[in-house]
This record gives sequence, structure tokens and C-alpha cells, in this order.
Amino acid sequence: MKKMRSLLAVLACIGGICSGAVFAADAPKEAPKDIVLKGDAKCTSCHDEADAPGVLHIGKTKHGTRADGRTPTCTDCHGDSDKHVNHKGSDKPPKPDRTFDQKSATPVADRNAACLSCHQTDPKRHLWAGSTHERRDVACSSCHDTHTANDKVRDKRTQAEVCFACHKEQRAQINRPSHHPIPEGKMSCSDCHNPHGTTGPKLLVKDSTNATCYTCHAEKRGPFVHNHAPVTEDCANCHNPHGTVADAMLKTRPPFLCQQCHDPANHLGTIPGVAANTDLSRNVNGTAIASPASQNNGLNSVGVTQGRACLNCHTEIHGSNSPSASSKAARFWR
Amino acid sequence: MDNNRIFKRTVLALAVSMAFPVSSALAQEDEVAELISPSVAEASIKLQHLNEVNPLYRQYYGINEDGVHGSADLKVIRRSDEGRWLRIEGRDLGLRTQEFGASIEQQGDWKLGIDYNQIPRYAPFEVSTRVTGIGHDTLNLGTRFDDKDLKTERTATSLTATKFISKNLQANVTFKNEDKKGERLFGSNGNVGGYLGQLFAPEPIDSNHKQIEASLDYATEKFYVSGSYYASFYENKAGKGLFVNYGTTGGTGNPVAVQGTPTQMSPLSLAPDNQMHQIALAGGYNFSRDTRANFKVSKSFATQDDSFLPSSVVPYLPGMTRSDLGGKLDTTNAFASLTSRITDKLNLLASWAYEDRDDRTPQLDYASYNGKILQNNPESQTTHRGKFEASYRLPKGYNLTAGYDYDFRKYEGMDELYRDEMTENTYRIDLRKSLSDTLNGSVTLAHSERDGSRWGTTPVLVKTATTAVGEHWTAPAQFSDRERDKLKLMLDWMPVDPLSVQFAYEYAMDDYKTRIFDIGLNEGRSELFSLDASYRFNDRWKANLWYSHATNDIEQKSLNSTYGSKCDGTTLAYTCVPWGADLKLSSNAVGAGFDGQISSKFSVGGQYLYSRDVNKYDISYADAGALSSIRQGAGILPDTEYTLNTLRLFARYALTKATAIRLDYVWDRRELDDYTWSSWTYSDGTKVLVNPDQITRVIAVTVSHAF
Repeated sequence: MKKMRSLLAVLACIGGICSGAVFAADAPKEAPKDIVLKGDAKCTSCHDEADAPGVLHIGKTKHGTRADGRTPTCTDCHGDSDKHVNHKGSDKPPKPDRTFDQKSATPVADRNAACLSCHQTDPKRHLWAGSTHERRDVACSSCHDTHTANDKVRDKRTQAEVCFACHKEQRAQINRPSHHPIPEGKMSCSDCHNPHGTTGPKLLVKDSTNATCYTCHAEKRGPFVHNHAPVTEDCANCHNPHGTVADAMLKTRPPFLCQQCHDPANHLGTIPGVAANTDLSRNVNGTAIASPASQNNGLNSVGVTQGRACLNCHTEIHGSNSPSASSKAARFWR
Repeated sequence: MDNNRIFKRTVLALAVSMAFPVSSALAQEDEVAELISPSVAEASIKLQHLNEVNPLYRQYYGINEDGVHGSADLKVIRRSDEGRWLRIEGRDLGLRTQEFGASIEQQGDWKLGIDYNQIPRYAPFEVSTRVTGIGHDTLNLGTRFDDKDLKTERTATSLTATKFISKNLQANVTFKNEDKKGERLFGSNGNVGGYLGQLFAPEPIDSNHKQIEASLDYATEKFYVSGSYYASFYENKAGKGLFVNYGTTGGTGNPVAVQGTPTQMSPLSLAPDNQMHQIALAGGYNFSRDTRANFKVSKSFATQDDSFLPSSVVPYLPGMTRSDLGGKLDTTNAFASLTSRITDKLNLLASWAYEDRDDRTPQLDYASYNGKILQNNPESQTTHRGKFEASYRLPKGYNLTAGYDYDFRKYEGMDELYRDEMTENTYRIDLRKSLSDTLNGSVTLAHSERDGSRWGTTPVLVKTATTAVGEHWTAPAQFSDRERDKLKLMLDWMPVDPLSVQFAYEYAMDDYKTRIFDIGLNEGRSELFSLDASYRFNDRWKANLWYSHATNDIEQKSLNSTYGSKCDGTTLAYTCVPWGADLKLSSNAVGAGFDGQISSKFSVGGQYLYSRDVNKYDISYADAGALSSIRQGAGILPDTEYTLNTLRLFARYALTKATAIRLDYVWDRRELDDYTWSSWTYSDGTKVLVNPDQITRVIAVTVSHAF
């Protein structure tokens, strides 16, 4: 036993000498070193890799790039937090001046001020003040996680999950058969919306609904020889871009959608029917009709209901550029 | 004995750490470096087996063949001590959904990037057709029926460049080039006079869209100003017209006539090339810490001067000498906002947005109908959107917001819309409160009233054998007077630290004022209820569950009539019948998910999604007696139902620190009961087939390695 103790003691001494780390009783205590950010030792001397490894992940982000002189340190966002830092005792220390977790007592405006002190001047964020999200007390940290390399809301495959935390209706709509490829991860909410504020309606990235849609659907921009008024005005008159059961993300399927605007003249007010149910040779009372039409005649119930319904014939519904002398072009037939 | 053991351990540890201080420190440094370094170099190979191609599943996933498919992912991120980033990322490489991005950046100074992205879209159905030439501008009718898939594919490449010219001045340029190719559902009527024979005539898609966006932004703590330019160039390479060479219809029983004869609607016009340029100036100014103003003004110039098909192909109206539309659309946008925290408790917002869309396209005679000349219809519109809002922080954690929204539209040239001006006023109030540390809630109420200027026409009855039974009866949906009420409730509850519960309820009611006989849209109602819960069992395991139920009801009315009906009830053809529809949509959705770590090497996760939408069409009509013009069975529409069940599971095991294997399993069932294509045959014999019950199973193995 004694031999073992001696051996270990000798090893310790050799190690100490080799490393030059033999402690002297009166040696000055070494100041804690920064780990990630300039001046972060104030925090990381406690919140180190053992205590809170997630905190250090800030180093993986743009905020953690020390070579960029603009990047902040912990206290720039969390405040000086002197009471928190200087707390002595075994009880729980008071919270830092600014916290960003779900249960934070820091007012949202104060939380956001920490971000805006730098980001308000970003081209895509300068309209934050006055935006819907700002007015509804949405905190930047409600959507963003700054202490991770993979901020969920900045990845188009996972972004929608973050938005759906509040936008429940849209969550249900994107799973309908006609939708933009959001569930498949090929599009994200921010392709059309800028949640940080815009000049357009509904936080759309462009000044109007149509201008936003034209960034991908420029063929609809026209102008055409024959324009269709609701198309020119606002794509959302007919479409719900978040998803519908009806084809082409139409809010309501034709002919119902068309009958919401068009006079019932001629065949426009035709009651819809399907081939499986409709006997085109008789009326509801069983009276034979002299010239029964074929099923896919645009003038009868089936023709305005099945297939593309009204659009079976009025195929150029977004506008026709046909210079034809025929009035059919004006009715979006060609 | 125990003391000895403790001594031994302590001295041993001390001895080792003292004897090998460098390696110990290095280990610690490695651990820290791993926590703080963004550097990643990772590649993965994925093999997935798809048991069956199903049209609804394949829609955007881009896999249209069953069997095994291989793909690769790649991710390289490097950051130097000097703050230079290199990012290379590839996803789904080898599949039609592949995307690739690379960028190099000196943080805070400059950045260059390139992105490539493919987005396929397969039609959610299959087609059996004898139409040939699909994807081209000339369609013919063959003799043999073949299965066809309609699909489009977007291929986009973007280049971005950013440079900080000085601390305050930043320049940004983005260029995006997108090609879109394929074909999509379109259609044509087969006859001019008889409205007979609807034809399957897919539209060829072969277009290019280039967009350039450049801005120069100057920002200080006090103010921000930005000048920008945006341009969009659309080119349609598919042609100017779609030639449908399969037949004039021959009337009842002979809907398709001779092969090779152009349909009388042929050629159908295809989207013309068009261009748009926009310049904008935007800025913001901080009057004080609490008061900020923003503004933006922009002017855009859109043109559409793509040449027409010649009059030898499309007969022009005599005297129509233009070779293109000469379309010109100038749009002016202006925006201003002012936000101010007047006191610690009172916060104000005022904003105003203006748009003037001035369609300067020359107007001339293009067509005629019953001796009446029809001109092109340039449509101009002016919009004002104003908002005023005041928020006041009340005692006990309440926050009250009252707002007023103003929406004004003025139309020019849209004479068929009957109204020149529309105004909508919205009044809303929002109360939110932090009920406690664990409970937050808000309630929002809004009431809108919309009306417009005097109608330019009055509803008239027309009883001739050749014209409409009624004109100007319907108030188009977006131009009718409307009252709208909205209610929204939200509650966030965290009863215990790991559990979070959220409740939401939304209600909206639209009441439309019709013009005559209640024709048009009468009423719309929607409701939404949702409940979300998430639970964190510990640092390794978490789960969530949500449910939502939504309903949407629309009530509208119309009049069943036949072509040229006099509506005087003298014959079957002249008997018109009022009818109404109550369209109901009911949606239920459930989602659940979990993530967990069984060990430091082994993690698992799963998601389940159930979504069901049921549309009901309740149609009722008056009894018109023996001369009812309604065909037997019309008005009886089957419900349409769509049910989605998707289960996704994964398990990931780290074979070594650098290498991992992942298994994915997807079970996806989509049931669609929809009358759209049921028992429907185009006049050319084409049938569109929708499998009502589609089950897709995908098993995937992914091996990833970090370098």
C-alpha cells in the first residue's frame, strides 16, 4: 500500500514539474478565458461545456464569428445582468436582465430591442416596426433559436412547423390534395411572406398579392387582349394558395365559384350534376326532352360540373391574348 | 478501506492529469471546439424503395417509378478564424427534387452564392388518351389509347452577391433563371355554335423566367435608405397558339368528328412573353428611441408586346391592324408608416399604402358579337389601404389594442363590374393578457363593412330568344356589399414545465348583400378549433399531439336556365328555376410526433398525420311543375372526401463517431372520393383516372459519414 502511494505521489510530482503547473500558495488566480464571444467569460465561466453546452452553440452561428467586429457578446443580448453574475449563495440566482425563453418575464419589446439594435437596418427587416407580428407582441425568439446552427425557421423543410404554432388554419390547408409543395419541403412560407414586415397585404413579399404570385407565375401577368377582371385584381379572389380540395387551389370548385359572380343567363346558372346521376334525356318530372345532349356538353349540368367544369370551355380563364375576331376569345374560350 | 479507495482515486486522477496535462486539456478543447465550431463535412447516400407509384403521393416528391431509387446529400460548412465561410449543400442529388447550393462569404464584408433547385409536379391523376403531340403546340388524334402522365418541372438557378461597400453601405444583387417544362391540363370546346364536345387538350409548357433584383442600402442607427431595382422577363418558348387538330364536333352522338380537322376553337392562345421593370426607394427614420417612420415608393413598368399569330391563322376583325397588343401597365406604389410609443403605456401606429395600376394599353376593336364590337379591356385600378392602431398597456398585465383599417378601391375600364369604387371599413379590438407565468391569452374581435359606389346598371330582365334571361343580376363576390365579423381566441398554457398546451378558436361570418332575387353569394361562415400539446419527458424524449377541426359554409343562389331561354314558363326550354346551394366543408386533422434518444448512439422518431376533408353540396330548387327545365338527377352531387393518413418513422444509429446509419419508413394512404373525373369521358375519348385508394410504402436506408 505504501509503495502504491509513493508511486502515485511521484507520478503527480513528475507531471506537475513537466507541465510547469506546480501551484504556489500565493500564485495569482488566472482570469477566466473567453470561449466563444469576446467577453463571454463573464458568463461561460459558469455556463461552460459541462453546465450548459447548448449555450456554447452560439459559436456555430454567425453571431459566434468573432472575426466579424459587429457580432455581439452575451451581455449585448442578455444585458449586464450584474445581479445574476454576482449572486452568492446556494439558492437560485436571479434571472439575467433579458431572457428569451418561453417563460421569460422580459417584455417582448425589450427582448426584440436586443435583436433590432443590429437587425433593424437589415433590408428585409427594416419594416418590422408596425408590422403585424410586431403589433401582436411576437418575439423574435418566438420563431428563432439563436443558439443553434440549425434554426428551424430558416430551413424550408421545417419552417412551416414554426409558423403553424400560431397559424392553425393554414396547417390544415396544406395537407389538402391541391397545395403548394410546402409539406414536401420544396417551398416555404417565406417564399411568399416576409414575417418581418412588408408594404404588401398579409405580409406578402411584394407590394400586392398579384405581384407576389407573378414571381413564380409570370405567365399570368399579361396584360392580355381580353383580361378577366378578378384575375387582374387579385389572384386570391379565386385561389387559396394554402391548399384546397378543389383542383388548382380554387377556393370553391366551379361552377359554384363562377356562379358567385356571373349572371345566370343562358347556361351560366345551370344546376350542377354528375354523369352517374343525371339523366339528360328527362327533366325532374320525367318529361322527355326532345334533344338530349351528350354528357360533356358545356350547356348541361354535367358539362359545367365535371372535368374542369366551366373551364372545360373557358380554358383561358386568366386572360386570352388571342387577336381573333371571334367573340369566343373575349369569353376566354381560345 | 473506504478512505484508502477515495485517496487512491483522487491521487490517481490528479496524477494522470498532472502527468498528461496536455492531452487532458486537448480533450477538453476538442469537446469545446465541437460545441462551438460550425464546421461540418458530411455526405450521405440514401437508397429508398417505393412499393408503388401513386399519383397523389408523387405530386411533388418527384418519384414516378416504383422500385429502388438512390440519392445523395452533401453538407460542407467551413469557417476560418478570419470569418470566412464556405457552404456547400446538396439535397436529394440524383432525384428530380434535387437541389444544390454553394456560397462563400467573408462575414460582414461580402458574399457570393449559387443555388440550383428542381421542383417537379406530377398531375395527381393518370390519363388514358389517344391524343398525340402532348407537350407540343400541335395536338392530333391517334388511334391507340396510351397512358400519359402530365407533369411540369421547374429548374431554377440563382446567383447572389452581397457587398458591404462601407460599414453603412451594402449592395445586393440576385439573379434567378428559371425554366419550366412539361404540360398541364387545359381544354378546348370542340364547336363554336353548339357548345358540344369538350376536348382534352394539354397545354405545352416551355418557358423561361429571368428575375434580377439589385439594391443599395445605407443604414445608420438613425436612418435607413434603400434604392432598388427589380426586373422580370417571361418568355414562352412553347409557341403562341395551341393547335387542336382533332375535330369539329358533329352534334349529339357524334361529339368528335374527323381526325385532322382543326377544332373551331383552334388555335388556343398561349401565354405571351412579357416584361416588367421596377425601381424603388425605401427608408426609415428614428425620430427618437420610441418613434420611427418608414416609407417606400416604387414605380414599375410592365409591357406585353409579344407578336400575335398572323391573321392567316387567326382571322382578325377587318381593320384590326396591330401585330401585337402593345400592352403597357405602369404601377405606382407608395407606403408610409409611423409608429410611436407616446408613453410607456400607449403605443400608436398609422400606416398607408397606395397603389395605382395604370393600364395604358391602346384600346381598339378586336372582335364582334351579334354586330356589337368588342374591344380589348385595359383595366386600371387605384387602391388605398390605411391603418390606425392604438395599444394601451392596462393594469394587471392586460394589453388593449384598438384598430381601424380602411380599404378603398377605384376601378377604371371594368365596366362589366358595374361599380367604380369600393370601400371597406374595419374596426377591431384585441385584448391580450399574461394571465400568469403559465397562462397567456388573447381575444380579437373585428367587424368590417364594405360597400361601393352606385351600381352603373340596374338588373334587367331580357326576354328574347337570343340573349340572356337577365343581366346585371349578380353582384360579383368582390364587389358586393358585405358585413364581416371575426372572432379569434388563443390560450397558451404551461401547467408544468415540460407540458405546453395551446388552444385556439376562430370564427368568421360574411353576410353579402345581393342585387336581385338573392342571386350570387349570400353568406359565408367559417369556424376553427384547435388544440395542441407538447410534452418533454426529459432531455432525451419529447412528444407532441394536435387536433384541429374546421368548418366552412357558403350559401349562394342562382337561376337554372337554358341557352336563349325567355324564362316565361311557356315551354320546357323557357322555364327557369331558382335554386340555391349550401356548400359545406368539414375538416378534421390530427398530428402526433415523438423524438427520442435511446442511447447516445441510437435515436428514433416518428410522425403521424391524419387529415380528412369532406365537402357536401346541398342543392335545393323550386318546384317548376311539369315544365321544369332541370334534368333528372341534376343537383344531386355526391360528397367529395379526401383522407390522408401518413406515418413516418425513423431510427438512426451511430456506428462510429463519424458514421451513422438511418432507417426510414413511410406509410402513406390517400383516399379520394371525388366526382370530378368519375364517369367522365372527353369527346375525344380521353379518360382521366383517379385511384380512389392509394397506399404508398417507402423504406429507406441512409448511410452518412462525417469527414
